Amino acid sequence: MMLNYVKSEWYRIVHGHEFYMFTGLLCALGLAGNLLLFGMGAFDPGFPYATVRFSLSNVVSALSLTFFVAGLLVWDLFSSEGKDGTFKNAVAHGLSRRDLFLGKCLVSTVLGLISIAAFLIVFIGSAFALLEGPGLEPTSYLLQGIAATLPFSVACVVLVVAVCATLPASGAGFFVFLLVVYFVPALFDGIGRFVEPVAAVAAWMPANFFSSEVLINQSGAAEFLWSTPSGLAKCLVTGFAGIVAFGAWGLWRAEKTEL
Amino acid sequence: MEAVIEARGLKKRYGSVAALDDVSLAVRRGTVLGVVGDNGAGKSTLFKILCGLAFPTQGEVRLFGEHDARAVERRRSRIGALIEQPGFYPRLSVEKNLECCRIRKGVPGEGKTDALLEAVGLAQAAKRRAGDLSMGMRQRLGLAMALMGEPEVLVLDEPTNGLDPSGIAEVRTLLERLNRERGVTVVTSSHHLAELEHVATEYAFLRRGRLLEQVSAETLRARCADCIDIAVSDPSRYAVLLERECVHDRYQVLPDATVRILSPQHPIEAYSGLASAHGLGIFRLERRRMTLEQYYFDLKEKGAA
Repeated sequence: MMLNYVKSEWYRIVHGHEFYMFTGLLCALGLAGNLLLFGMGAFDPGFPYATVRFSLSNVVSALSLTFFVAGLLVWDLFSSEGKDGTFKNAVAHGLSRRDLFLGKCLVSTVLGLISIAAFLIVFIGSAFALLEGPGLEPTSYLLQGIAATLPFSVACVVLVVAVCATLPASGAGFFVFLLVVYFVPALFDGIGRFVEPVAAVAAWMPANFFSSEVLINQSGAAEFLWSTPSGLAKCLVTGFAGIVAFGAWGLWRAEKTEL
Repeated sequence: MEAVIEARGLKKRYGSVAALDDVSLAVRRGTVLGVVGDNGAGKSTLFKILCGLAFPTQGEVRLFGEHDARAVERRRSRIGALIEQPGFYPRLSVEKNLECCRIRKGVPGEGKTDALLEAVGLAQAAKRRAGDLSMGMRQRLGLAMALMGEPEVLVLDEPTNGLDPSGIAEVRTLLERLNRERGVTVVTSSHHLAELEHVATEYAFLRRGRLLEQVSAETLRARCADCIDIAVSDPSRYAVLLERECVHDRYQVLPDATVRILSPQHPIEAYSGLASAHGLGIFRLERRRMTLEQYYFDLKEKGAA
């Protein structure tokens, strides 16, 4: 039954335009950034930032945005299910809520991977085509960084699916996602400046450590969280813990929510 | 006959409001159960519980004899449902919506979509965006989705809602045909009681969350048979006269001094003559045949009393 649901969602998304719009916009943003740097470089020959390294390092230093992108994609695909009554349909037609939840997580994760792959191809390709090299080293940093954020990005996918299952007809779901992924970590970070134990907790929140533990400067000196075994472990542990925690909560809520 | 759906002691509370209060009913295979009730009577709540969209506070639902939650969930794939507003993807075309439904239900054969669109009268609108459909056409799309996969049971909450008169007739014909030719069991509700009268073989009357009665159409027809209402100055005496002189014991004395003579054996003049001959004043004399609507109103009054 879950496979049928996954196939029907795939059919629906392939024949709709939301996913193409979303991925197209993401690619356009990447291309626009590189075009801007290229334009500035062409306009002012002394402009120092028209390089592949600078362009790619902008993304590496803002990797926590991938969580936002992952959440936004799922929200774009599934948030109207409650309003449109399609979630209700699927349950009434005999699909278990558990299968629906897992099916959505699966479809969203695959689509998210396709979306990010398209973005990387356009972004890195346009950087190589328009900006000055060298490019291999920063590309390697970027790809490693994206790989390090993947587990928690999947956790964000699971969280938004869970929120959509819990609040099927509400627009407040995305706010809940932002609250959990960004606002609560920011709050803990703020309190952590005064209270040491809270700082220790805040340091394990992905939105915090992907912002604060990645340092790059223009000379190329870089420190990456995922370059050390303990840092990589932190990325993976928080990611998988997030998948398990949000998944358990989502499954529990999906089984309880009335439609 | 096997009960395909059984509700046992269903209670559903929303805060302090009891949407369902100890409702037990059984739907036998091959029947068409018409659920009758005002807004807020609990029809939609009952339908939602049957379809797994809501959970009872107490009581259980059995589908095809199964009562284990997981088994019941699996059995729902043998049911086609249309609950409240039909759900669809507004940006997809009608045929793509139905194709999504076909894939989701695991129904083989792409030709199924066209055949169903034809059956519900949506073939001309197949390429139209579902979000642009009129209310009646949306209802038809919802019906097509419910019919996908040739379900054994259809649970349809007000399926003729928003349909024009010809649409109502088409849905009625379709349900009659499915029931007659394929033995599909139907549980349906409608505010058009006259419509239900055409298709229902059983009725369940709900009022304020309570099941007033589940009765077969045959029994109901007998109860609604021809009758004469006569309001007289002394109903008790008239009742005695009725039994003694007309040898007729099928009557009811109603609270408003009316004697309702069920299945009258003589012309109406004979009954008025009986009252006049014994000096009883006649305030009202009426020959009537109760409709489902009248029966429902009477039942509601009794329930309220």
